[in-house]
Amino acid sequence: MAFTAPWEAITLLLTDPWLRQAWLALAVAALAAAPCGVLLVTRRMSLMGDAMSHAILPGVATGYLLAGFSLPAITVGGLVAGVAVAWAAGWASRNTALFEDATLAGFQLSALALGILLITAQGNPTDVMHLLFGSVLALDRATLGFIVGTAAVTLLTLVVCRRAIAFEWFDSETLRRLDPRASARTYYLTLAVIVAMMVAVFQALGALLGLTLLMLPALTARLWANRLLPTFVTAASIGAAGSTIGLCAALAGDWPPGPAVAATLSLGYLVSLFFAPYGLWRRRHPSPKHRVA
Amino acid sequence: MNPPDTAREALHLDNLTAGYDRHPAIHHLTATIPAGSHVAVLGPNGAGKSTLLKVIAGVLPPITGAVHLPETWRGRVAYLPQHPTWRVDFPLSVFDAVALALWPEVGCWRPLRRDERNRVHAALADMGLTPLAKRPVAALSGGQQQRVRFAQLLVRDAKLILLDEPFTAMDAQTTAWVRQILAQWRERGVTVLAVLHDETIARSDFPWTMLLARELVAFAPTQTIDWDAWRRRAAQPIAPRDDAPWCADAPAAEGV
Repeated sequence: MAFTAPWEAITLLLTDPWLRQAWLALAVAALAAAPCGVLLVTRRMSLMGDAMSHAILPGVATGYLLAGFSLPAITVGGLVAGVAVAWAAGWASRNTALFEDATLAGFQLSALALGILLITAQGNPTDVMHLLFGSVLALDRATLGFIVGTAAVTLLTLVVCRRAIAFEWFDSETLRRLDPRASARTYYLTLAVIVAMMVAVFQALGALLGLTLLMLPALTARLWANRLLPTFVTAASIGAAGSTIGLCAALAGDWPPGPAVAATLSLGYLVSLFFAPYGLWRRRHPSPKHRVA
Repeated sequence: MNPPDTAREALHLDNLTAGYDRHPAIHHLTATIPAGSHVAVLGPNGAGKSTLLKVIAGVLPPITGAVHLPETWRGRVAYLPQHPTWRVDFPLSVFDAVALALWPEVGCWRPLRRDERNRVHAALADMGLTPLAKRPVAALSGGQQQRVRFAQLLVRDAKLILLDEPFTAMDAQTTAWVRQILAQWRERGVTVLAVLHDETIARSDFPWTMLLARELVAFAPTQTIDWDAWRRRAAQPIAPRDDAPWCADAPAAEGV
């Protein structure tokens, strides 16, 4: 593809069916992934995504071993392995003195070792690498359906269970005392939804860059908002806008779309880090405008 | 010197031993606390005051013995831990934080009814938090956060309230409010156990006093306490010793 002017990129995005599909997948995934990222950031589990990208490996490898390069098999394998590792780590952290980060570190390393053993067992890992690095411009209908469906289920779950999630995230210990079953169910359900969303973004942008759709909008939003609803809405908007702009930039500059989207979101994060209301500049130079009391 | 068993309902502590890592923080404690009594729990550091509240709240299982609550108190025990357990990283507003305390009545699915929202507003007003209702909890000072925790207790319709050092980080005005709230709870017959450090508050606001030094030293009407004798007793160290002998009263533990 030759260099394209920005307005031509936008026209292309709206007319070309493959590009339109890629745009839809990215924007919808970003819309649902960003709130998941906010949940991870506010529970100090920001690095969980990196751990999970390793944790899904044994599932992906098993799916590939059993069914060859079939997206559904690999997806289901990754989903099962990811949810299993997240639940096991969560269960261990709720029932021992170790925190989530510590137990997750233990479980993801075990999963990584198992995944590498499985992958090397079957010879040709190049197909599996497709999943690890994503292929947003070549999504088939089934994958698009999986991404949009997962995003819809995620958003629905977060909205319907918002009270329970807010309680579990704000004061897990108290909810566990008042209603231990609700606490456990909320925790494991939310983790499962987050992991499903991770597998969905991995399919669009790959296991390495997919996380940018979760984490960067969430981190950026925390620099702009300090209340609950604004944080979630800002994060989702930044994610959707960033993936759109990134895709246009990729078309205009003839760059690969995944890194372009990730770079756009990174740029937004870096600028916000310095100039957002809760960023570095405002901390050093508080606005002289203030209320009377 | 047990209190007279006039009320029908009561909190029974039956030969209670609890602690951590096989070191008891409270040792074979038996007491009957009649419904409606307000009890100040006093003792030196490490005397087992917080442990006692944790066991009654059901946070910590006892090593031996049992806590017996009246059937009608089930689900209506409110507990204020010494330190907040919330994570202020999650940007919940003060109003929402207080509304969470209604969980046992409201549950997971339905939105708050108007009367429940009014109860939250009333609790916020009682603690002087109305102007701060929309702020995130993280933006509040330590003393203001303590007031949020009290507002959470106020919206609950609790039968038994367990307070672990409730007056920490409170200014004079807040202390006065909390003492008023204690008086309201006394009138309504709510049972209160409060761990205190300040014996003057015990003497002014709590008709009953429980003195702890790992074992029960006394449980008596506050006015009958010999405070000088207690101060001498409280000055004796009670650090757990790793070479302490095994308790003869305990049933033979398996695998020891």
